[in-house]
Amino acid sequence: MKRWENIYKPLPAIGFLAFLILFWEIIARITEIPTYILPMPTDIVRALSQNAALLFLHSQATLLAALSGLGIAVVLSVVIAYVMDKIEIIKKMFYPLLVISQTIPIIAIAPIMIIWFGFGYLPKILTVVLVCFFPLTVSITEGLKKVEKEDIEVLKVIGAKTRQIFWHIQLPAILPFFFSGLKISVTYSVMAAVIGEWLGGNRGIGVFMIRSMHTYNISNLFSAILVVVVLSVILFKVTEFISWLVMPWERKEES
Amino acid sequence: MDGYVLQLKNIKKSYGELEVLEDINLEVKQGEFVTLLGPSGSGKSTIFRIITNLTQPEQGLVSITPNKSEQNQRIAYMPQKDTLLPWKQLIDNIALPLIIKGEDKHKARQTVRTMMKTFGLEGFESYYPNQLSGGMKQRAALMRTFLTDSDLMLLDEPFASLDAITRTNLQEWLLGVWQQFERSVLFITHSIEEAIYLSDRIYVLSSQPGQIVLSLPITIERPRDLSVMTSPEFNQYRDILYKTLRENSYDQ
Repeated sequence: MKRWENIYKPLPAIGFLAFLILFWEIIARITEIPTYILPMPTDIVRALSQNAALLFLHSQATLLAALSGLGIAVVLSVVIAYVMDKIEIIKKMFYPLLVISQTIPIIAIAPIMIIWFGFGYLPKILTVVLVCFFPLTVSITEGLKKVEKEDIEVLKVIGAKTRQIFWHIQLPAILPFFFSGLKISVTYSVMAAVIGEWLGGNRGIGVFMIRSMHTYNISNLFSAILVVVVLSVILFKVTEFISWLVMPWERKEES
Repeated sequence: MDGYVLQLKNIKKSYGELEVLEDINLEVKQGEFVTLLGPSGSGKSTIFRIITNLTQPEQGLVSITPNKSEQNQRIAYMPQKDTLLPWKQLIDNIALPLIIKGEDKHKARQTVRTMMKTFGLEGFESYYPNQLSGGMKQRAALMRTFLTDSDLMLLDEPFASLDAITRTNLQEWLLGVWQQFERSVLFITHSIEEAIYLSDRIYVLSSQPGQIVLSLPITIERPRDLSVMTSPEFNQYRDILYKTLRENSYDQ
């Protein structure tokens, strides 16, 4: 029964999407809007298959920027959240600024990154770090705040060192919070890398998009969007799987 | 300190304006089961926090006989709140004191495994705490406390959240393991019957500020079983304790 439900759960969404695509195809065909304004879904599929090799190459660059940025953001946010939790004054100094910094649109930061760091991977990675860092830090800080005081006390009484308290209590306690932050960050990471690529460079889905834009190849643009969506969804699902893997105690009872 | 594992002298503690403890003197002898009996708000848990050095008294002296083998002072402490870690399997939760001490994980698990039966937890090694009943969780928490390498065990109302039947079973079981492992216990409860049934000696605390108003030795012969609860002796103790508690607790 359970399995049956799991397979058929996304059916309504898929059905609706199929209907929208069909509708789009029909409208585009009968109105004869030029392809460079509104391509038909079949045009987009064609563009996708024609550019498959190229898109694959560009995806690799985008993924590389997204994942390395994400990795740096993870390490940075764990360290900063831990230090803020440990030392009250640092939190008071840092946390409000952190929140305010998030009101700066990333699209405004990215050009500065390019000027400072050129057209290579670095500015893209830094853009990703800036975007992903915030949701992670906030959720980890939240998690550390919720660690049970008594749990830590019991360990202190039996002689645990700070390092042991971190490994046995704080780290596992923040995992659920960490992963809910990571699920947000991971979808942002692809987007941030693409924004970084828009502004310059010679590899990446964002670069491919800018080139397609300059040649009015809107079918290619749509195929690039499709790739971004697929990449984001894959990363999201992988994150979900990892969280399932590392937190066996959070799994729902099976049976 | 001839035969004492714990002595408190003239302990005084207040939180801001509020006086919590006033002139507390108590002692626990080697192998003794001592109970702190008092109404809620009498500062019983604060005494534990002082003994474990989680909070400092304004006045007074805490002396704990150090373990012969250890430099570091460890105390086996079980707080009122359930502190089994939800992310650790039962066996690793219980092995925690051994792991903290620096024992290798495999060896620690082995030690725990051989003792699971004594504590009635055999077969549940790989369960997570949220899969277990309240009684089993308390037994596991007690087992973890027993595994802390310390002569003195501090138990803060370990059975308060359990239903009557489970509670009675666990009291009986606790007496069994206590005798088997020959530890000194300082036990907190607000239940008169529980105190008499388990203890060698009972300190009665008054409420706000907590003061020791009675130190009552319980001479009911051991090993005790549940039938002692209906004996005339037991009733006499109960009358004394009940009267003392009534006279020394004020409703706020």
